[in-house]
Amino acid sequence: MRSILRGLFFAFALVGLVSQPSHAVSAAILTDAQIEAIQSNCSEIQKNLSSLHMNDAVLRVNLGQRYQNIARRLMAPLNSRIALNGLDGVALSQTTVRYNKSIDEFSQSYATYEQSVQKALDVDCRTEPIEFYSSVSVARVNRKDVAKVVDTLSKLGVQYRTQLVAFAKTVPAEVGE
Amino acid sequence: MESQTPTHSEHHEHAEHALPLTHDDFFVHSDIPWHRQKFVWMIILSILAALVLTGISLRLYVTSGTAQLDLSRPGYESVRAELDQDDIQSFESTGAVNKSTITQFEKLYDSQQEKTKTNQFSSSALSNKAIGITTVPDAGQ
Repeated sequence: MRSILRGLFFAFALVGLVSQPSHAVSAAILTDAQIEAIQSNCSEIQKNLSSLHMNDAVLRVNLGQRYQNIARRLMAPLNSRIALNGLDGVALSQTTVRYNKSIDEFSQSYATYEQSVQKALDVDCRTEPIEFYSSVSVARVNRKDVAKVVDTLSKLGVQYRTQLVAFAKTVPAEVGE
Repeated sequence: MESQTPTHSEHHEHAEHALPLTHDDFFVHSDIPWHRQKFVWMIILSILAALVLTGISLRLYVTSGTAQLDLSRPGYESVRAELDQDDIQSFESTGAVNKSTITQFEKLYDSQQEKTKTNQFSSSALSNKAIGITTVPDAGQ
């Protein structure tokens, strides 16, 4: 019985270790001098972080709008037009699907990032410098995720353009006219 | 025919002799206690319903991510002007597909694609140096 319990304990411990989030941020080890630096520059740091937060909001709105414009007003109508003309636009449609999926990922990753920055802004760096630095570290990881999705969208945009060039070569000048 | 309406001087005289207005002149006195009155409960329930619905709306506003897109919030006045106002031309979803239409599409596409080129979500914007933590070394930077 004892060996079964011991086995269960190790199994749960193993599951606990494996299920740690992949983006777990290691606790920041700060020296007394560094903590003091955060505390003394607190208002300046908060001001810079707040400014970045606002600029990111504008960037997110503008970028999201441009992605939506490309997907809804350009890619989707062209794919539809190609299909209506009985031409092979499967590759373009597949890229559009991936593009739309990435737009959703962009919204989600930005939401996570924004919440982490807001959390850092809510921490008083004068009284809780370690907690503050830890929150900033989490925000950095989340920002990298946003940058990764932006990069994916950029690559998909280029891919669509390349596929379009290849598609254009197969289109006779008089098709659909 | 003589007018029956009182003159200005008669009005003034009447007002001088009138008794002062009391609380009962404005409110109908009732022997029913407030907690037994339907009207009072209607007001209370209306306020409670409004508070609950407002709470739900606010919760949805924040959790759906709409709040993050809403730059009409206080504090965002300074950056509102930086928002993109251009309304792009949509590509027609019906019609012929030929070299000419593809060239037309490419022009629209390239102009939009150009606007998405950005590196402003780079990690350097949140580095210790960028936000003013000058003495703390950047981990992994």
